Amino acid sequence: MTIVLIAWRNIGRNRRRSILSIAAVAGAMALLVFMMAFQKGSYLSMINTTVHAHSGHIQLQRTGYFKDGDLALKLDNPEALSPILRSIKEIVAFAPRINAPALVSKDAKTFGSLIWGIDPVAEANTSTLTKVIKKGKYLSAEDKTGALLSDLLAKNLNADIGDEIVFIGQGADGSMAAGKLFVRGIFKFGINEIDRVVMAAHIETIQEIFSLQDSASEIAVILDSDSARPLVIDSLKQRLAERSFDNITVLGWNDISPEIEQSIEIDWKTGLIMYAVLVLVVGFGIANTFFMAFMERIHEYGILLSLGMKSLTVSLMTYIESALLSAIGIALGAVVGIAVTEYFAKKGLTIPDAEDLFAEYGMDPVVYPALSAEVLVIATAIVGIITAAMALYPAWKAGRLEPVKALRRI
Amino acid sequence: MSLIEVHNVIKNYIDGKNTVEALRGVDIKIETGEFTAIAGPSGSGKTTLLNLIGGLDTVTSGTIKVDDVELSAVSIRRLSEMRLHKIGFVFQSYNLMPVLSALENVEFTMMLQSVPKRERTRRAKEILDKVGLSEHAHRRPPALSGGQQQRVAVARAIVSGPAVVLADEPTANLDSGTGAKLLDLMRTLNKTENMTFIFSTHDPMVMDYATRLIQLHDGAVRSDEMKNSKTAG
Amino acid sequence: MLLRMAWLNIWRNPKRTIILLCSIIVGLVGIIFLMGFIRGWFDAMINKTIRTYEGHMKIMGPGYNENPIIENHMRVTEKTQEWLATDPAISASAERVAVQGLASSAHRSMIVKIIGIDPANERNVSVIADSMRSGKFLDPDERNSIIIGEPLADKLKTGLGKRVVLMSQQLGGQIGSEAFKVKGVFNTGSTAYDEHTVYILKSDAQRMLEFHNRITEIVILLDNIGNSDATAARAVASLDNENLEVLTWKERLPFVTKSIEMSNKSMLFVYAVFYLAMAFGILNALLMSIGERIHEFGVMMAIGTSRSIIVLMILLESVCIATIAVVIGTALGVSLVNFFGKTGMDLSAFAEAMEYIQAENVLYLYVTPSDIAFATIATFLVAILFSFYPAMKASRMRPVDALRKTG
Repeated sequence: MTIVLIAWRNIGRNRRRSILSIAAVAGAMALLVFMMAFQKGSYLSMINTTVHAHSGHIQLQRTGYFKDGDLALKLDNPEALSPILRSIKEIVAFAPRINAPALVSKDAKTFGSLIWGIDPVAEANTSTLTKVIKKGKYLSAEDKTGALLSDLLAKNLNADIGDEIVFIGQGADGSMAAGKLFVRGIFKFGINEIDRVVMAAHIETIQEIFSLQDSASEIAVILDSDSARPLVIDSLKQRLAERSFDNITVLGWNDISPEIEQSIEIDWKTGLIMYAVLVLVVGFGIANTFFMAFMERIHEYGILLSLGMKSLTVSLMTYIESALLSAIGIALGAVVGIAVTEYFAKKGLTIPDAEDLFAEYGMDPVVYPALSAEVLVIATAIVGIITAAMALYPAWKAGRLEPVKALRRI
Repeated sequence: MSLIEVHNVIKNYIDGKNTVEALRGVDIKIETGEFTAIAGPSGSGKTTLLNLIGGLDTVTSGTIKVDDVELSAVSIRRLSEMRLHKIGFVFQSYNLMPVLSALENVEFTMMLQSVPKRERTRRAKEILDKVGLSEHAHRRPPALSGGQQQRVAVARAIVSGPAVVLADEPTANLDSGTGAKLLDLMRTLNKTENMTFIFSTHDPMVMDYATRLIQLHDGAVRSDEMKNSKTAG
Repeated sequence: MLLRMAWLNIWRNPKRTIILLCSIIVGLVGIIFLMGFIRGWFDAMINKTIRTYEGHMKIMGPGYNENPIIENHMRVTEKTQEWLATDPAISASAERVAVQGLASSAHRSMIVKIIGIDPANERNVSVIADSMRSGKFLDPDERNSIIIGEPLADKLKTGLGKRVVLMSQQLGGQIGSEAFKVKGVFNTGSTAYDEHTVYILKSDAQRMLEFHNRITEIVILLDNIGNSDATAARAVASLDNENLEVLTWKERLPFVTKSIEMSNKSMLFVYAVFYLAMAFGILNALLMSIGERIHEFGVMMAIGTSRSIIVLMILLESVCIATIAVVIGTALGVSLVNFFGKTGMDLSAFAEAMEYIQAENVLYLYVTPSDIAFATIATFLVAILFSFYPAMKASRMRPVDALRKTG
C-alpha cells in the first residue's frame, strides 16, 4: 500500500507533466470510445436499412431455395408455421412472400421484372414498403387486382396510377403464368436493384397465377433487436425440428447478405489496426514522460535502495506510478468518451455532405453512435496494453539500479 | 557622470506571503576601470544587486543607470541588446553552452552581434589565447576543468569589449589555487585593457584582489572603501 | 551555429529523442500506409468495374445513362468513327447493344442484361474473353450462340450446348425472342454481375431487337485512367452536333466517385488525429527538455541572446527531429506500401464483401508524390506549430528566474 501511496504522491510532484500525460491517454481513450461507438452505430443503421427494406432479420425458406431461386422450391402451407413464430417473444412481425420473375408490359413497352407477392397487412408490419410509397396508395388488405410499381420501372413503362399492367412468366409447375393488374402506388426504396425491377401485388393473386396455391417463397421475420438473432435462429431450428418440419432452412440477414456482414468486419478490423497504431503514437509520447519521471528520481531510488528496499519494489513502484497515470487517463477518457457518445446517441450525428449519397442508396445519413460493453472493453484493452508496455522499460531499468551509482546521480 | 549609477535602489521579493526586502536603498557609483568586489554573507543582496545592474531583474524603486541608460526605462529587447553589447557576465557555474566547444562558446556572443564567421573565429581564438586556453579551444565544457570553464566564461564575457563585466561569485566552485589564477586573469585584463569588473564574493581572498570593496549587509551598504589591491601574479 | 546547437541539443538526451522519433515515425508510417491502402482500395474498386464492363469512358445515346432502355439508342456516324480512330489517348473501343431482357431455360426464367458485342473489339476493352470458365468465347461466324455467367448457368440449370431463349422488347415495342446455344460460361469473379449478364453477337442482338445498325453504347479504354477527363472534353468538342452523351467512369460510377470523395474527407480527420498524437509527443518532449535547460536559457539571456533567437533555436530543434522522423518514416512507410504494391494485399478472406463493392480481392497499394509531400509538410507544420508554446514559454522567462534554477 505504501508504494502505491508513494507512487501517487510522485505523480503530484510534476503536475504539468502528469496532467499532460493523463490528458493524452484520456484523449486517445475518449476518441477510441467515440469512434468505435460511431462505427458500431453506423453498422446498426446499415443493418437496419437492409433488414427493414426487405430481407428481415431472419427468413424461413424451403431448403435449396436460397441457392437456386427456383419458384418450385416453396414453403408449403406457411400458415402452419405461424404458431411457432408467434410462440417466440422476440419476434415482432413476420410476413410470407413470393418472389416471381416475369416480364411486365404496358402498351408497347415490356421490361424484365421481379414480382413480389405480399400479404398487405403482414408486410406493412414487416418491411418499410408502406413508408416508401411516393405516389398513390399502398395496397389494401383485400385488393387482389392492385399493384405497386418501383419508380424506375414505372418510369420505364411510362405507367402511372390506375394504368393497366400485363405480366407474363412461368409458373412453379412450368406452365405459362399471365395476368393483369392496376397500378395503385409507386414506391422508391432508394436501392437500385429493387427500384428498377420490382412490382408488388397481393400474394393470393400471385399464388394463383403462378400455381403456388397456399405456399410462399419465404417468410421474412422481424425481431425486436438484431442482437437476439442467433438465439432466435437456434430456437426456431429446434422448434421446427420438434414439430418435424423438414426441408425448412432458417437464414439470418447475414446469410442472405453476407457482403454486408463482411463489409462491417473489414471496416471494424481495419479500424482496430488504425486505433492500435494511433495509440502507439500516443504511447511513445507518454513513454517519454514515464522515462523522465524515473530519470529524475534515480538519486531518490538510490537512497531507497541503500535503505534496504528491494530492487523489485523499486521496479514495482516505478511501474505503479506509470500504471496510475494510465489508469486515471483511461478512466477519465472513458467518462468523456461515454458522455460525448451518449450525447450524439440521443441527438444523432449527421454525416456531412453525405445526405445525397446516402439517400440515393437508401441509407440513413444520421448515425446514432451505439455504445456497448464491447466497445469499452476493446478501447480499454488497446490503450491499457500499449501504455502498460511503454511503462515496462523504466520499471526494468529501475530494478537494475546499483545503489552507489544511483546515489551519485543528482 | 559615472559608468554605473545606482541610486536609492529598493528591491523586494514576494516569497509566498512574506515580502523579503533584498535591497533597502542602495546608492553606489562605479567608474570605468574599477575592479570592485561586492562582499557580504549570503542573503545580503549581492547577487540581487548584480542582477539589477545587469538588467536581468527590475528594481522595486530607485534607478540604475549603465553608461547613462536608465535600465528601468528601456524595453526588454533593448535590455537584451545592452547585455549583448555593454555588459559581460560570468556566473558561479554551469556557465557555458554544454553542446558548444570552448571556441564556439566565445563565438556565440559575436554570432548574436552578427560578426562575420571568419572575423569572429579569429577574435575568439585571440581571446582564448589571452586567457591561456588556446590548446583546449575545441573541447566541450564537460571535458574542461572548473577553472578552465570559468576562463572560457571570462573570455566570452570580454570578447565584445563590454563596458562592464559582472561576475557573480566566479570562484565559488573553484579551489583556492584555481580561483586565484582566475582572479589574476581578471585583474590583468582590468589593468591592461582598462576593463571594469564588478564581482560578488564572500571569500576574503577574492576581496584582496579588489581595488574597491563594498560590503553589503541585510540589503544595505555597510562600508565602501577604496584599497590597494593584491596585484596580479 | 544555431542549427548545430539545435542538432547537438536534441542528442543530449538520446533516449528521449529516440522515443520521440519512434512516436513520429510510427505515426508517419501509419499515415503513409493508410494513404497507400486507400489508393489501393479504390483502384481495386475502380479497376474491376472498368475492366469488366465500364471502360474508362462511354459514348451513349441521350438519356441512356440515366435510363438504359432501348429507345435511348444511338447511331455510329463517320464522324464518331473518325474521332475514335484518331484521338491519341484511346487505346481501344467497342460498340455494344445492351438491353434488359428475360433469359429462359427449360427450367426457369431470369432477368438478365443482354449484351451484344463484336468479339474481336470486345477482347480489347474488357476481360470477359479472358474470364471463360468453360467452353469458348463468342465467334463472329457462329450465329445465335451465347455465353452466360456461371451462377446464371447454375440457376437456369443449363450448360454448354444447351438452349437458352432470350426475350426483350424490340424497338417497335413488340417482344423479340430468339433461341441461342450456350457456347461458353464465364466467371468474372463478381456474382452480382455474372448472375445477370449474357453476351451474344451484336448482329444477333440487332436482328432480334429490330435494331438495324443502331447500338446503345461505345465503350472506350484509354492508355491511362488519368486522361479520362481530358479525353471526354475532346470527345464533346469533336462530336458536338451528334446528339450523344459522353461519360467518364467518374460519372458512370457516382457511388465510387462519391465514396472516394467522402473517404478522402474522413481520412483527413483520421490524419489530423494522428498528427495530434504526434504533436502531443513533441510538446511533451520539448517541455521536458526545456525544463531541464532553464538555467542554460538564463545564461543565454544574460549574455544578450534575444527572445527570438531562443525561440528560433527551439524551433530548429523540433525541425531537426521532424527531419529525421520524416526521412526514416517516409522511407519505412513507402517501403511498406511498395511491398504491398508488389506482392499485393490479399483480402480474399472478405471475398463476398469485396465482390459486393465490385473490387478485386487483392489490393495493390501505392502512394503518389503528392501524398508524400502532404505527409512531409504536415509533419513539419505540426513540429513547428507545437514547439511554439514551449519555445515561447522558454523565451518569456525572466532571466533572473531562469538563472535561479540549478541546471
